[in-house]
Amino acid sequence: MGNVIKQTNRTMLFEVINPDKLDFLTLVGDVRGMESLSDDKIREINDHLLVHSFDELLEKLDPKVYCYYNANNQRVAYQLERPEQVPEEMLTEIPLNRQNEFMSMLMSMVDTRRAEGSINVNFKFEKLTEMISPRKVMEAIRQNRKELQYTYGEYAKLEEGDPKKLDLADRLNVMFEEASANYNNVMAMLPLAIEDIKTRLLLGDGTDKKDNTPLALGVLSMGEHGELKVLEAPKAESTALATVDDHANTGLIEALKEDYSALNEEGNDYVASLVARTFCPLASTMESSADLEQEVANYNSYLEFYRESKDAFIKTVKPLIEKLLGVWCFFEQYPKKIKGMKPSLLVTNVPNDLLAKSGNISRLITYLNTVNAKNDFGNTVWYAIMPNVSLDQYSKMKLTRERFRGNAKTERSDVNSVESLARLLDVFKDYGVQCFFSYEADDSTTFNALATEGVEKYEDRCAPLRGKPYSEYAIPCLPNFTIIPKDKSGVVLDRRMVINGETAELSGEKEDIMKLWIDGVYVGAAYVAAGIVAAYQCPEYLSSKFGKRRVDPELPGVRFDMEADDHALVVCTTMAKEITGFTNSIKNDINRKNFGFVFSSENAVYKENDITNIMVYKTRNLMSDGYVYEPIYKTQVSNYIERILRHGTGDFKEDSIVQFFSNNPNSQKSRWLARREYLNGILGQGDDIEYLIDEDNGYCTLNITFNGNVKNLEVEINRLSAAKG
Amino acid sequence: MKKRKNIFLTILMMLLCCFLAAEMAVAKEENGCNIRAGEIVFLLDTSASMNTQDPDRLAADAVRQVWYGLPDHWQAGLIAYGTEIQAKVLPGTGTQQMEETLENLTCSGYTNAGEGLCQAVELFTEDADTDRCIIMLTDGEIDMPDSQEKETSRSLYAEAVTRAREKGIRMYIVAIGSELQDPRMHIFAGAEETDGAIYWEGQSGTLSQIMGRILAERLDFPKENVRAEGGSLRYEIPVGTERVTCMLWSDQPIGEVSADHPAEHIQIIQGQRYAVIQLSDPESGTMQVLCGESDGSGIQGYEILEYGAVPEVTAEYRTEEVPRTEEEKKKNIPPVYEHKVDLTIRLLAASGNHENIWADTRFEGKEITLRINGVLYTEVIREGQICMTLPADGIDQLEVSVEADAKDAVFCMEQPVTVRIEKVPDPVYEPVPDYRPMAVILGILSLALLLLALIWMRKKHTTIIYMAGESAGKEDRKPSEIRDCPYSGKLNLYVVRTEDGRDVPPQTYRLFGRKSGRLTLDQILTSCGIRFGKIGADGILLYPGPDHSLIVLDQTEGCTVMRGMEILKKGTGYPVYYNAKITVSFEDEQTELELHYRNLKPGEREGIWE
Repeated sequence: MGNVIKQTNRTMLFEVINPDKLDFLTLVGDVRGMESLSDDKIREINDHLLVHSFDELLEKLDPKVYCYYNANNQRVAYQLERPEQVPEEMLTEIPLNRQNEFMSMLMSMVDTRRAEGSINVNFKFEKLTEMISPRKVMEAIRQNRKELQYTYGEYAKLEEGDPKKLDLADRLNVMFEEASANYNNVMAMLPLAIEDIKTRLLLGDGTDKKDNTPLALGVLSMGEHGELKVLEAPKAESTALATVDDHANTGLIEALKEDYSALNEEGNDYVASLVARTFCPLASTMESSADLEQEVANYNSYLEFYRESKDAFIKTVKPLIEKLLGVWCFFEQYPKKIKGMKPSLLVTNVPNDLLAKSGNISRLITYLNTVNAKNDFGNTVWYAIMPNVSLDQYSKMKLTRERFRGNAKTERSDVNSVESLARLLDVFKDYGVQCFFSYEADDSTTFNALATEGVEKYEDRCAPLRGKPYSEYAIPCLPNFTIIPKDKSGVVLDRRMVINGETAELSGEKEDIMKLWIDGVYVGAAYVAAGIVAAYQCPEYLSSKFGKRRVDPELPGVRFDMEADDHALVVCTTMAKEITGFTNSIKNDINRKNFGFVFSSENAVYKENDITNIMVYKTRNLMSDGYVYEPIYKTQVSNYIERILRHGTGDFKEDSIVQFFSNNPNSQKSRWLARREYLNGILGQGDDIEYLIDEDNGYCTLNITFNGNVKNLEVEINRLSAAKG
Repeated sequence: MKKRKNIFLTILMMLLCCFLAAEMAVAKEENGCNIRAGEIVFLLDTSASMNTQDPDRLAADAVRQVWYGLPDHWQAGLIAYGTEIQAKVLPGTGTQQMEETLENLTCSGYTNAGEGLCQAVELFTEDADTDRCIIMLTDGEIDMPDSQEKETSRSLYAEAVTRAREKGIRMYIVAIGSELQDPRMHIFAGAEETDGAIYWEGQSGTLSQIMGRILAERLDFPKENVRAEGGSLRYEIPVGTERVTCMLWSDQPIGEVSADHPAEHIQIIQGQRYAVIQLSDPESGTMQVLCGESDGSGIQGYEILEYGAVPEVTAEYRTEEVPRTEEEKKKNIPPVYEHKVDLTIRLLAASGNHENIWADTRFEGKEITLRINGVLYTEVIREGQICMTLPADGIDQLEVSVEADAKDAVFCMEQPVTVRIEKVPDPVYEPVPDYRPMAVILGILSLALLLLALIWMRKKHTTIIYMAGESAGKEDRKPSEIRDCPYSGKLNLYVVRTEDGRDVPPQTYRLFGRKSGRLTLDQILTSCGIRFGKIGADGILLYPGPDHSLIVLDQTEGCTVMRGMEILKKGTGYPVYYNAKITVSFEDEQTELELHYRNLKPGEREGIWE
């Protein structure tokens, strides 16, 4: 009976990742007259929306941004939703995956910071932000092209029909696919073109000699008088790319050109040559007497265009990137090497305001009625994540149609309203789903802000959610995590080029530095909070932290109290510290109020090892007895016991309940009590559980004692005789 | 025939006499005074000897003194005689004629007292209840020119005395001068035989003093004596007097008398040794009378107070319940009422300002005899009035007359006063109803009503609904009695779609704790603040069913109600259990609603009762 529930960390993410993909509402469909969904429907939903890793999310939901060009203003436009008025052929889809330089830069940033363990103020963000500059893009491509060149070389060597050639062909296909992601749109080609021009015009720039004579490649030879001189080599009368190598490279060039032409019907020779030059070793015999002014103008124009488009791209994609990073952080909390109760995430992929509409919420209820109100717990949802909740505590759902002119408000369009949160919480309480929510992520909700302002601001914001039946299921998470601080989010792309005499050089003027501002990237605390809680549900995870002797391998971590003992020091997040810590007065304030799911960025040492990660300081929901808020584990233990009890007693049969709590060594209670020394024992040290059957009303009241504090759980018993009350 | 005529005349005379007697009685009653009337005849000797004995003509002055000193209801006449009757003034004659008569008297001739007395006796009226007296002023015995005449006069005198005695006329003989010192003189027999008195001038005082004594001591009318103090006399004039006569006299000339007091009319009549001040409708207070040439010694006086009064009687009729015993009350015996009349009597002046005469302090505490309907009552004046209570049974009106004390003053009252008693009927006795039969009837009725109520409640709590068969698809419907089922659980309302596309927040409607009975969906929506208009919500009925079920009944024409996937038949009840879902598509074919029937935990139930 004990391991009936195999997972206690299924999490629902209430966010939109890709509006073009199927969403929760669509998949659930019309539920009129239906009390639950079919198993097939659940499987279909899982197929489309359930992910077990970040990569699976990228694969299933395929986050992308749409790009098109506006000829009128000569600008590039980005959009997260497919612009319906733009024809398919004029639209470019930019996938947001690990290969995306912006995405990879941010992920690298998190990884690097985690590895370095340095706080925000010390971290050199510009080193990583440079990753999205054309030079870094080119560097990455160079690395790729090496591999490509090598692989193609190997491929070309083999004879036709050789099985190994087929293997290499497969590998080449993958590599071409990745390469094509870059050259199948002009935008991706821009950094290539920029670097191409730069390489050609600034050839020799890296030498110590700084003369202004144009480069003329030559050969070292002995003069008539035996002097050593460099003679200009005779130029070939061709502008075609020349291979320094054998015909293998020629084949690769042809293959790339062909691939480009196949993917881009309206491609031109310039781009085709550019692609070829980029992914093949450049010919040293390249024409050096190109039109210098034209090339410099092109370079500056490309660079400006690149900066503008990159800026537009970042501004558009940043909210989605933040969500993706949130999901990534969620999964990051659970180490990949552990094979246990791996957290899973069900992405609704639908705006919350739409989901929380009265007409749609029934679908959520029906879904939860299917997965949470059955004695099969494989798909039971235990947690929910709702990041980006509006800081306006009275924020309402967006009206379908504004019939009367209301007060003009400058609202962020992508935030979740408190009203929609409340509506969803009201559903969650009926199905025992604990909801981690965090407020809109910006520089006002970071560790820095919390360290200076305290938790009072958050407590005030939560006022509408307190004292409600669903307060127990509302877990405010704070502060939000900073990936790049707003003030350090400048990215230097490159410098403008100027003509100095007969040669071109990069300008040294400050105003010629091409820079763009990412404007800060933040991740909602709810992702990390849900991630860490989902992670420690896994007994293997707990074993990895505390050792196998202290953890029962069969029981989930529902009773694991993060606040108890040194648990917070052992079970840390994977996020790097951000600040030096909170002041004592702020910590006193947090401890006095015992409010929220609070992370701390503190200096701490555990077993002589410095802790460089962010720790969990408080784990409380919004249910209060007037003095303190309740720890979240109590709610989950209650839900767990209720579900186990329902399963074990055949939907609360009276006689089975008696047996469930009997002193028989085989009773569930006895077995729980026998495992109370384990960290993840359902009943821990000082815990107890008693039951009281109210015959008149047909209820069984469970008094679950957590360290002396009693929590009541009421279940309706299933009597054999007719109901009395 | 002649005999019959005599009998008739006799009867007629008797009737006439009776009528006259009655008239006199009426006159007496109409007179209404508390004193007897009086008649005085002065018999004044005007023989020639009086010139010697009364050279100052004090006899005439004495007549005037008495004349003016009498109360209003006394009348005086005069016979002046010498040898013959010189002057004759009938009682009731005016003052002016009397004055002229006295002024013109001369003293001459003999003294024919017999003839004079005869004439004097004849002057008296025959009125009953009248004091009568003759004041004879003479200076000597009967004297006529010859003895026969003298004897005749004597016999006449004797006869007249006899008649006077028969008539009750007393004679007061004032012997003037010094010749009548022998008390055995013939002339004095008149005083002796008529129970009168003889006064000798000098021996009995001066003529004015003798007259004063006669007025004060012999004549029976109310008066108050006043003594002089230092040459002045103070007369107290009470409230409401109509006429006041102030008399003073002295043995010496009193000089000029002066008095001043507010009154409607004041008159001072002064003789040589007397003075009379007459006031009409005077104001109350003290009147001081000054005698000019006298030191006041020897001055005597009195005052006669005459009131013209009307009793003022108010009668308040009242009934008084005779206290009943407890037993009588229990037996519901009607109470007996005593009927009483509360009288308030005051005596108001008939003239002037109609002041309350009894308001004067002299009447406070004085006992007054009242005659009410012929019965005498003696009551005491308190605060200027008499309050008394009389039984009023059998009496419709009261005839009240006040018997004023004749010693105090002269009261002439217009009485009796008749007061009608305004009777009010006795309170209608409403016997305390005997509620016992009514209580029994009411008890029976209450029991019956209770029984009906119980039946009604039972019926109310019992709803007969045609319930759908157990298995879906069956056509059979069975009438089912739903009784005494309480509501339980709650309904979560989700408006899936509205006509105008607006989003209605989810609502929760708690059924638990509500009175059992019918609920319409419209009621629920209204209480949740959801208004759709007339789209059929009022035709979807909910009843509490057994085993915590909720019975849904669709009685609309255009709505579609689903229990799960099953469309409910119209007019048929379908039980819905916890966690079930009801979908309603309304008549507008746009609005859709989902009702989720959920259980309430005990904790949530407690919250409802708080």
